[in-house]
Formats: sequence, structure tokens, C-alpha cells
Amino acid sequence: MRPAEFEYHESRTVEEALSFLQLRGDEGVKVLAGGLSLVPMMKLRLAQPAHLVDITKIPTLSYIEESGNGGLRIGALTTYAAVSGSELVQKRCPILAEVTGILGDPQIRNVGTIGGNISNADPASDIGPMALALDVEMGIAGPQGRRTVKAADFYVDLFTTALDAGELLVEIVIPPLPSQTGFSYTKLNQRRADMGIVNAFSSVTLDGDIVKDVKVTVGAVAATPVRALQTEKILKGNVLTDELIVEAANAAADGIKPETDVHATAEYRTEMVKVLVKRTLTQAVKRAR
Amino acid sequence: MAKKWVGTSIKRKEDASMLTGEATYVDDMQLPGMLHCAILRSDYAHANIKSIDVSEARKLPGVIDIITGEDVKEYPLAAAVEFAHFDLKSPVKQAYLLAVDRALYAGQPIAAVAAVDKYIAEDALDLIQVHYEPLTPVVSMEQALSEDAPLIYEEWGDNVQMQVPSKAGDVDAAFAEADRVIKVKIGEHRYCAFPLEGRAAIADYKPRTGKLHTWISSQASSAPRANFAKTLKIPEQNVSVTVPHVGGAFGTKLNWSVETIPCLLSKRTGRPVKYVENKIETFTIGPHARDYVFNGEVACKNDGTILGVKADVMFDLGIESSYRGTAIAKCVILLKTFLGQYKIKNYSFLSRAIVTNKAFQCSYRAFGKEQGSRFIERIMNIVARELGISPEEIRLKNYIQPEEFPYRTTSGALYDSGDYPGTLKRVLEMADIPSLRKEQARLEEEGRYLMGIGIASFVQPSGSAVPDGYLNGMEGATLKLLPEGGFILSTAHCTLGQGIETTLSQVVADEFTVTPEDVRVIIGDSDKAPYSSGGFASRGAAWVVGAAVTVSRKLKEKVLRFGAHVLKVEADEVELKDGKIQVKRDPAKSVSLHELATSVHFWPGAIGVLPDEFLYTDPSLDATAYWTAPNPPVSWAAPINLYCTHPNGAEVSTILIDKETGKITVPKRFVVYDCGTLINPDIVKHQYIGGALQGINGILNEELCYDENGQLTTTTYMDYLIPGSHEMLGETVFEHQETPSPFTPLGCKGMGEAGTFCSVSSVMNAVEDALGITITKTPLKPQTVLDYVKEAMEKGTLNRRREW
Repeated sequence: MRPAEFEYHESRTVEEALSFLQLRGDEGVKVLAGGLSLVPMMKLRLAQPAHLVDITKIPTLSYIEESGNGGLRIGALTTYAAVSGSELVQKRCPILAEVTGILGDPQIRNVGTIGGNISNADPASDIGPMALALDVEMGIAGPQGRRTVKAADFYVDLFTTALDAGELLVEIVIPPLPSQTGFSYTKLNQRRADMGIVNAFSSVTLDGDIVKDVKVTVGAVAATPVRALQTEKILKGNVLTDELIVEAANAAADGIKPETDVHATAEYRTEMVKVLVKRTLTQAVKRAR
Repeated sequence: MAKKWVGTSIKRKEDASMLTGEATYVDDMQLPGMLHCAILRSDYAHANIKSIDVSEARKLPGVIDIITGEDVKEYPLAAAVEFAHFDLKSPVKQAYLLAVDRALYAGQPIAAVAAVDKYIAEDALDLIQVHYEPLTPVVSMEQALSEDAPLIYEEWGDNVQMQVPSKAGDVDAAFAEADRVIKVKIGEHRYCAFPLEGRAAIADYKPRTGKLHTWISSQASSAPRANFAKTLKIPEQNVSVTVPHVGGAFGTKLNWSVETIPCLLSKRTGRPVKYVENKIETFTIGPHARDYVFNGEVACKNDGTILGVKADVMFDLGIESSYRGTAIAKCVILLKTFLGQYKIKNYSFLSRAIVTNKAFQCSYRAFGKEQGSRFIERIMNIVARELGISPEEIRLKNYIQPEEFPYRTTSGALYDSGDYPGTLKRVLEMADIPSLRKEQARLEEEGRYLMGIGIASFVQPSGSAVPDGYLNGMEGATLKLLPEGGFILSTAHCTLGQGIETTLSQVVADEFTVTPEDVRVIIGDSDKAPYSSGGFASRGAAWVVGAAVTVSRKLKEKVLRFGAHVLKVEADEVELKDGKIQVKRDPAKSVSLHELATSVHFWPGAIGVLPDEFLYTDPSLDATAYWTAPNPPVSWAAPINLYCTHPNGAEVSTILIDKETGKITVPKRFVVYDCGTLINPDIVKHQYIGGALQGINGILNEELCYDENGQLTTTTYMDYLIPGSHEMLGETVFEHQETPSPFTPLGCKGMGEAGTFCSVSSVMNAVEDALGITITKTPLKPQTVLDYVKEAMEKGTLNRRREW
């Protein structure tokens, strides 16, 4: 558990980081932000990058600001603790403050970065389902300039994103949240600081008792966070009842093919999708009212 | 003697240095010219090693030495325990530092590299080519015992390292007389302690003098000295073992075969060699623990009286456990301790140590005693449920009574003191069972959670002296009164975080009417103190405190005589008070310990101060003494008492099961614990609560999983879920009781392992209380529990507890 040899590059600006990202070794190049996932992988020698580009000293990548339309722009290097503790986030997007506030433990929240989480694309990430449901946009810097990619297109596969070689995730853009809407995130884990065996996120917009809009996403059950489209379809435009929530939640498990690992079997995960989706829907509805 | 410090919760002396990073651990140490060791581990659970090619690795710049099985053949491991009485099969031919010719488990050390830095050492491992010929691995006890099982040790003829039958009374008659015979199957999965600091060693062999100094993270300093000397063929007087701060141990650091690898590399290279295991090695090399199953039958009367017990117990000890670890002793310890607090006259047990292609086992917090305790405590609840009586009633019916102490159990154990019914009644009162039952009904009505209320109690054999091996009882201490009036107490015992430096200084302070700050405790060095068996089996408060008290009293006698001589009175006319020797009838006439010590050492010096009978025999202000339990184990053949003290306690645990996910939480626990005279009540309480966290997390979250190929699949802290700060249990309402032991000088009883005994029993009993069915599968992961919830709902047993 000692990392293999690598070359270390400290960058002070995004441009400098991008120039380092042009380097090519046999095992390529990796970006070091919080290092919570990358460093253990390197110690296990599952990741053996020839070059490590340290972006932690780039001052312009850590910020939280309002976007013109009432949304938020968050620098990729902003820590979970900074996000969850931000009054602006608590006001504009309280669910983001909530999720980043329960993620891991204080040490993790002080070191881990929101951009690192999103670019790592761990299928059990706490951020993934929320990013998908809130239609978050990823601001990407690359040799060809800036571009943005929506969360739905960003998560491509297991630990794989739409980031091309040489590109760097620099900003997370949270669109303005709709009114009359409640949000809820939950995960099932054995220890409180762990990622979930399954996690789920719901966003419900109500018009009286009618579901005007709904987004339901689940994580840790596929290579990427996934939308529960059938669940959304069952609910959208209909009058809310407890029975409908259960019916919709059960539909979230349709077509899901999770993996079996030391923590849980695929069958259990599938069953838990129904439970967690039901719970997040119920809480989101309560919050929407 | 008035007790001032014994019984007081002073803050721990150890904490400031540990909390600020001042404390030195093995990995903090750097020696000039030091090499770093990395170990190549077996890829296979069972395989012939056809060849190992280290030529490429040797070419890597910075690599100084590489050893393989060929190089260790002349160094067979010294045995840790040798049970001639029990017909223990010894794998002498296969027990080496590194695998010789055949790999016996995935993760077994195969080769070791010494290089100038730890990165190069690990790079070199990638260049070593091992040609394996895979063999069929034995991955379960069932498979190990099957007709066509591959034999791990050909010459044994089977895969059983030791089997011990044990009988008492007339079991057949008891079963014939019984109203009911109830079958039970009770076991636990494989798990262990994984302290934050894993195995760590620095070996420094000086080729000119032939001396080996080692710094290891260990629970003993004297025993590893003998172990290194014997294995490496170095005279023991030339071996030193120093144990600096230890970052957790819990029983796992009582084996030194892996630490011998850097010692051999140092001997070969003549340079210091450091080995600090990585976390994958912590999991794969071992030791492991638990992993046992009881298949038993209980004969009882309808009123709950237990007449007899029969059981077949099997332990999966991995490749063997008398050379690499000591776990073979569990199979015997269990037989001597499983009767718990109950007057059970008749039993018949068969205890078997099974070998498989898994990592070896060693001790882990309670070392077999907790297994016996869980067996009997689970039985009590299962039988009570079957008979329709309450778990408290069945216990009260079978308990040993307070007036029966000292009590010799049918298995030979000699219990010192206690009030078992009183302890249980008190915890039931604290928990207020009727109101908990109301809360249980309310929650059940509400629907989301099932609440369980678990009752259990225990006797905790502590302070062991197990014959035939390293676990024997031998404990000495040296105490010095320094010229400036301070004290140094030296013991080769090791501290693993129990706060023993604090408690020992409290004990010595009271003996000399000084303060704990006046006493420094030197611990953990084989060269600086008399022989110590080490820090295990909750020995501290019995044996080490016993040695500290004995040596204090020996020195005190001398000090009083010196003082009397100075004060020109007879020795029986003086007493110690406030750090002074004073004349009893005229306290104004006194000499302080400081004055006395200065006068003996310097002004005017011993010749001018001491009476002749001391001057020419023992002018020192030092003493060395040993303490031995008054009820020692004599022979395996006779009824044998392995533990000199027997604390007891009782618990009520409340648990909540999330009905839809199966996730268990433990919101509130009630504990009454009696470990005799308390030295530092808060240390006892917090050690108990920490142990309970470890016990409960072990049964809920931790599991060492092997797949069908014998590969360990839980090799990181992401897969193996040790408790974090979030897992600190909900509230624990804790109360001390103090029934002194007649067998120890201050009445103290060893307590370090207490927390892992009853916490598991009470939590499992609580789960069964919630569900009304018997739990046989552990750990109680959400998925497992959800299956039990479904089973209970199908069977309609959720309300069963209300029958009584």
C-alpha cells in the first residue's frame, strides 16, 4: 500500500493545470483535489498515474456565488464543509446543504470537494442522484475552451464521465429551484459515515394535491445514478395518495439490475430501492406542502 | 491504610501525550541506516510453491536483501502454546516465518524484501515471480470434516488440530429426568479487532556484539524476547524488546511470527529493518477471531431449572493456532468458563479446533470466555421463551447465590465473590422494564420500528494463568524511591490504552501516602523490569496491581525501618502519613520520604544513616517483588481454575429494527458492573463502554468474508466496517457495584474484556425479543435482519414476548 512512482505537478492556475493535463505517461495523468478516493486507489496500486496534477492550490476554484437567474455557481474545489456551511447555499438550495452536511464525517467534509466527488463518478456517490434530479450543469475547462454538460450526460459509466482527456471540471452550476417543491435525500448504510448500500433522491412539485412535476433518482444500483422514469410517470399529473406513492416507489425497482457485493445482494438492493424511494417521496411531499 | 487515590476518577496520565501527538509509536521511529521491509503474500489459499524467482527483484537499485522459504528452513517457529495434556497436534514442519514449499492461506507471507525505502521495497515485490501449483482449498469447517477433504497437514490424518471432550456430573440422568430438552444452535461469524495501528516492528541486530534490539507494537515484552531468541537462535540474554506506545491491540498483538521476519532480515543484513504492515496485510495475514458454532441441547424442568447441557463446539482456527497464534487455548478455556453464573451440575462437551485454509487466529477481547458466556446467556433466553417464562426469572432460578462464594463450579473454576441476583435486579430496576414494554407496544403500533428489550448477565473470568505456554501467570515489578523523593515503578507489562500507568500510580501513591504525580510508571521493556506475562486476559487489575502492591509493601517495610532508625524509635512505632514517616504517638517527630531518600543517597549517605543490618545486606531504596494468585491452576488433569478473579454484571439493551430495511440501532443500554474494588471508576466505565461498542459493532457490522476459493473479500475498511465515532452507542446508563475479591491484595478484579461479553448477548437477546424467533445467523447486517423480520411476520411471532 505504497503508491507506485509518479511525477507531481503543482498548479496555481486553471491554465497551468490544463497544460499539465496535456502530459501523457503510460498510465496517464490524474487530478488531485481532496484525494479521498484517488490516494487510496494509488496506495492500493489500482491507480498508477505517471503524472499527478495537484489543483488544490488554485485559489480561483473554491467559491460559492449566486448566478444571475437565482441559481448557484460553485467552484469545483469547494469542500463539502464549505458548501454545507454556506448561508447562501442554505438559502438557495437547502437540500444541497443537507446532503453535503450528512456526507461522510467531519474530516471527510473538511477535505473532500464537490468537484472531486462528481468527477470521480462513484456509483454510490451522495451527490450523483441529486445532481441528476436537480439538472445540475458541469462547467468544464479544456484545451478548446469552456463547455458545459448537464448531469444526465455527464455520468457516462462506472467511474467514467463526459470529461475528455485534458479537461478539468471547474464549476458546478445549480439551476434555480422551482417553487412549491420539496426535496428529499436518503441512503441506507450500516455506519453513518459510509456511502449508501442504496440511496435515493426525490423532488416533488405540487399544485394543491396534484403532482405538477417530479424527479426521482437512485444511486448505488447501477454504473451511474439513474432516473426512475416510470415512477415519475405514475405520479406526474395525478392526485397524490399514499397508495400512489407506494405504487410509484415500487416501479422504481423495475428494470434495475444492481450488483451483489459484501454488503448486500442484488435482490436486497432492489427491494431497498422501493423503500427508499417511498421514503424520499413521502418526505419531499411533506416539504413541498 | 486509608484509600485516597484508589477509588478516585483522576484523569489519565497517558492522554495528553497521545492526544497531542507527542507519543511515539514504532512507525514514528527512525534509526540510522534503517531498511524497510515489504512482504509478498500468497495469491492462493492452498498451493504448492514450485519455484520463486527473485533475480529481477534483486537487480532493482535499493534492494538490499530478499528472503524466501528456502532461507527460513533453519528457523522453525517456536511454539506459543504446547498442550501435551490434550494431545495437541503440532505443525512443526510447516510453521515457519514464510511459506516453505506450500502456501496454506491467501495472504500468507511468501517472501520478504529489505530495501532502502518502503516504496522500493514494495516495487520489488512486483518483480518476484512465484510459480504456484494450485491445490483445492479447505474453506469451511463442514468441508474440513468431510470424508474427501484435502488434508492441510497430511501427517495428522484429519483436519482437527485438537479435540477436547469434557464431562461433569451425570448428563444422561439429567436428560432422562428433564421435562424438556431444547435444541440450540449458536455461533458467530469470523471477525476480529483491527486496531488503527497494525503490526509494527523495528529490528536492530548488531553483528559485532550479536545483540538484537527490537521495538514492536505488542501486548507483551518478556514473551516475545524468548520467542525471537528461540526462533532466530540468538541467546535470549542478547535480545531486547521495547514496546513503545501501542495504537490498539485487543488481543491481536500476542503473536510475533511476522515480526520475526524483519528480525531475520536485520540479522542477515546487519542493518536496522522496519516493517509496518499495511491495512490489506492486517486483514489477510491475520490474526482473525470468533468463527465458531455450538450445536447443543439443554435439559430443563418446566420451572426453568437447567439440569444439564450437551454441546459440540467447533472453532475454525484457520491454518493452525499454536505457533502463529495462541487461539488453540480458546478450545480449552471455553470448557472451563461456559457455565457462567449458573449452578449447572451436569454437562458433556466436545470442543474441536478445525483447521482450514484461512488466516490463523489469536486472541481477541475475551478469548473464548465471551463465547462460553454468549452460549449460556443465549440459552437462558431461548429456553425461557420456549418455556414461556421471563428471561429474568430463569436466571434468578439458576444463579449461584451470594452466600455461596467462593464457589467452585462443576468445571473447576473458582469464583471469588459477587451478588448475581442483586446485580440483575438492580439493572432491571434502572431500566424500568414495565415502561420499556409500554414504549415497545407504542412503537409497534406506530409501525416503522420493532423494539427489542434484551436482558443478559455474565461472569467475566479475568486475570488468567493458563499453563503450558505464553499465557502463563508471572508478574513482577520493581519500585525505586529516588533521592529526590519520587518513585519509579517498572513493569514489563504492556499498556494498550487501558490507562494502567494512571491506575498503577494511584495504587503506589496510596501505599506511600503520596500523590500519583509522585509516581512514574515505566512499562513495556523487557530489559528494564522483572518478567511479565503481558497485557491480556484482563490481567492488569489482578496481577500487575498485585505485583505493584506487593512490591510497594516490601519497600514500605524497609522505608519504615530506615525511618524509625533515623527517628530513633522502633519500626512498629512509626507510620506513613502525607509522604512522611512519623512517630505514631508524637507526629511532630517525622522525616519525609524526600528527606530520608536524600539522606540515604547523599547527605550523609547510606553509611551514615542506615542500621548495620541493612548497610551490609540491602542499603537500597529499591525492591523487586512478584505476585501470584492464591488459587493457581495446578494441573490440567485436576479441576483447574484458570482465572483468579471473576467480575460480574448485567445489562438491558434496547434495540430498534427498521421494519422495512432491517437496520438495527441501539438507542439505550443499561449496565450494572461489579469488578470488585475500583481503582479509577471512570476508567472502568469507559473501558466497559468502549468494549461494548466493539462487541456490538462486531455482531452488527463486521465480517471477514472468504469466497469459495479461500480469498478474503473484505480487505479494506470500506468492506470491513469497524466502528467510527458515529457508531458510539446511544446512551449507556452505567452503575458500578463493588464486591471486593478475596483473592487480590486490594480486592480488584481484572476488567478490560468486560464490555465484549454481555453487550453481544443482550443485543442478540433484544433482537430475539423483538422478533420472537431464534437468531442463528450473524452478523446482523440489515439484509440478514430483514430476512428474520419476514420470517417472524410469517410465523406470527412478533407478539410472543407478551405471553409472560
